[in-house]
Amino acid sequence: MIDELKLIEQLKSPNHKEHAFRELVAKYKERLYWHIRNIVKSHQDADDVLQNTFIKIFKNIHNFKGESKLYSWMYRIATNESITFINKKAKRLQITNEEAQQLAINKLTTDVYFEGDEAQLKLQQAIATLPQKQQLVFNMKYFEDLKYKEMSEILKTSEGALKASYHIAVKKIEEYLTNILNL
Amino acid sequence: MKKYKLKNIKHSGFKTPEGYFETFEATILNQDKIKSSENGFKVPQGYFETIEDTVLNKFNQKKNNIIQLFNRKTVIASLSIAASILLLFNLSIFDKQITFDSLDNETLESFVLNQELESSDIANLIPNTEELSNAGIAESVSDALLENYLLNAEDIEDFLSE
Repeated sequence: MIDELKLIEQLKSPNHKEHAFRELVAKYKERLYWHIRNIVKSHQDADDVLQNTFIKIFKNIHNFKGESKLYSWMYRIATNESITFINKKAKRLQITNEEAQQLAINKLTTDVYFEGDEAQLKLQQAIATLPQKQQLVFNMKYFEDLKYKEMSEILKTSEGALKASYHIAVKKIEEYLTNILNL
Repeated sequence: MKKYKLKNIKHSGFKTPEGYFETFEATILNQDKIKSSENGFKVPQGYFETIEDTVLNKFNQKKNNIIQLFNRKTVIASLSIAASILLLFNLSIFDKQITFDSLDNETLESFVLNQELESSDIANLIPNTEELSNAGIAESVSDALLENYLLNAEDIEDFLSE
């Protein structure tokens, strides 16, 4: 906690900003990358969004009031940037957000940075059928292994609601996979 | 039908290009958008640490100075405007009314000489001579009054000689 406060202080100081930012990137790049990658699916898109996220963090660090933890503030920015990215992509292609997500999943079969087997591909297809908030909750819990408390701070939702959301998501995915794999 | 259990899948299947995370800091720090906030300008060391004191000191100094309600420039400008308005209304440039009293003999004489007036021109100014005779000017002026006027008129001799 002391380290985080010190880091924030340095990020707001013009003389130490760049050095502190380098530390911040080193500390959070992987966690934020996987968070983004689970939302946007392709590496190229995840890379774009991750860079935009860090640029936004760099430019807005002076607005960070310390009301939440730094990591949850950054996760929130990463989440919003990812969703904005999908929305823009859908708008550009003149399709719905769900269709854009489905398109990203379909491309995984030829993606060199996806090494999943059939079951893993089916899981991605199942996730894409969930409402956006449930997708977020599922990815954060299942793949990123975040605690409900952390997720609650990031998504500004109660732990109880998140637990309920996750269990519904798991149930839907299992149903989807059961149906599709028994065909 | 076999029920599928999610816990069989533990990994998403996504991977990254080799060395991606190792070079990411360099990539992000070389971004123009990050660089643009570092636009090459530098500030003196400790500038931001002392800027509050500098500004507050200046602010206090200004507060201690007496602020005059009317400064010299305002007063001069106001007086200039007032004087201009006063002059404008007192100058006779708008006074267009000319009375016979304001005409002196020299002006009248100069006018008659320069305009080369003939007696016929003057006659033309009086279209109906009967009306003039009927106006009873001669009757309204008594002999005593006429004599008195001629005696007091200083320039009568000049007119007679001409």
